[in-house]
Amino acid sequence: MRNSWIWSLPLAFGVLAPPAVNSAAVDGSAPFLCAVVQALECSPDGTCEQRGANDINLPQFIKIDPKAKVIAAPEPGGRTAPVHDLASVDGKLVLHGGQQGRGWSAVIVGDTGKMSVSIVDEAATFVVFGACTTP
Amino acid sequence: MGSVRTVLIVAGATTLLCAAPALAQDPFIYPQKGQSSQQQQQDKGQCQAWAMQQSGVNPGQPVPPPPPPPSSGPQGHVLRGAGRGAAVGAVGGAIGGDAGKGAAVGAAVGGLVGGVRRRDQQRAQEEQYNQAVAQQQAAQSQASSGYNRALAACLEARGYTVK
Repeated sequence: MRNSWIWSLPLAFGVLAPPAVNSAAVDGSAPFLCAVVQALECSPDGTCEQRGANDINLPQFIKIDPKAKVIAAPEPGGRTAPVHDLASVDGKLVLHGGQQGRGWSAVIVGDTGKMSVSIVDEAATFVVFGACTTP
Repeated sequence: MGSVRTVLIVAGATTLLCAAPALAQDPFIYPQKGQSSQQQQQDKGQCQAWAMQQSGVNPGQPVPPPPPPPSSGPQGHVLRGAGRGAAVGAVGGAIGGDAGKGAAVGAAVGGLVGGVRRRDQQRAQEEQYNQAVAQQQAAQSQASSGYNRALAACLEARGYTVK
């Protein structure tokens, strides 16, 4: 009984702790927005080079609409790509698609919004890391 | 880096294309028959007009350079490290538009994934642009030469030495 207050500490921290950084889970139930944080271009010779989103003509922000199955640059009339397959796997959203001879896959962690994307063709693989959020 | 390089290429090409006709347009003219200054001005003006008519070149209007190679468009630079959370939060409100409508437009301009540009593709586009600039420069130079020959022919017929 003398140290019973110790047992209340976890409870107190649990109540007072700040909420998670992202306001809503990225679970595919609603459109969400992703920011490109880092992009790499890997060549068949085994080298990978850091590239800016701007340099590889990738939008800085990408809007993903799971219901419409489309990813799009958020500006009006922005470029888009269809999502061919979308599934929720172990708390992560897994997307696949293809466009103009390129395939792409993305994994987005539901509770943190962390995103990893690969875009591949016969001559290069782009690896893109980013972060997603819902409104 | 890519966008900076594009700007430099375009700026360089513009400078070269604009400078070419300016360099070619002022030959030295000597009045062999002692023509007055007023007569020289009059003859020069008339011959310039005739040379323009004959060659189809107006030295006062440089030809604009070819359009720059496809570049980044309106997107900014990549976000890094600490700033990303804030940036993601700031643009969160952009969600909710009609993505389906955008799909039709996007397909027409290369697509989001299809439009991603490899380094070798970027290089090829820049080389293509440089070739177009060189071709245009050569055509411009040829046209300027035609203008100068026409101007010289006119002035020499009126009793001037043109070098």
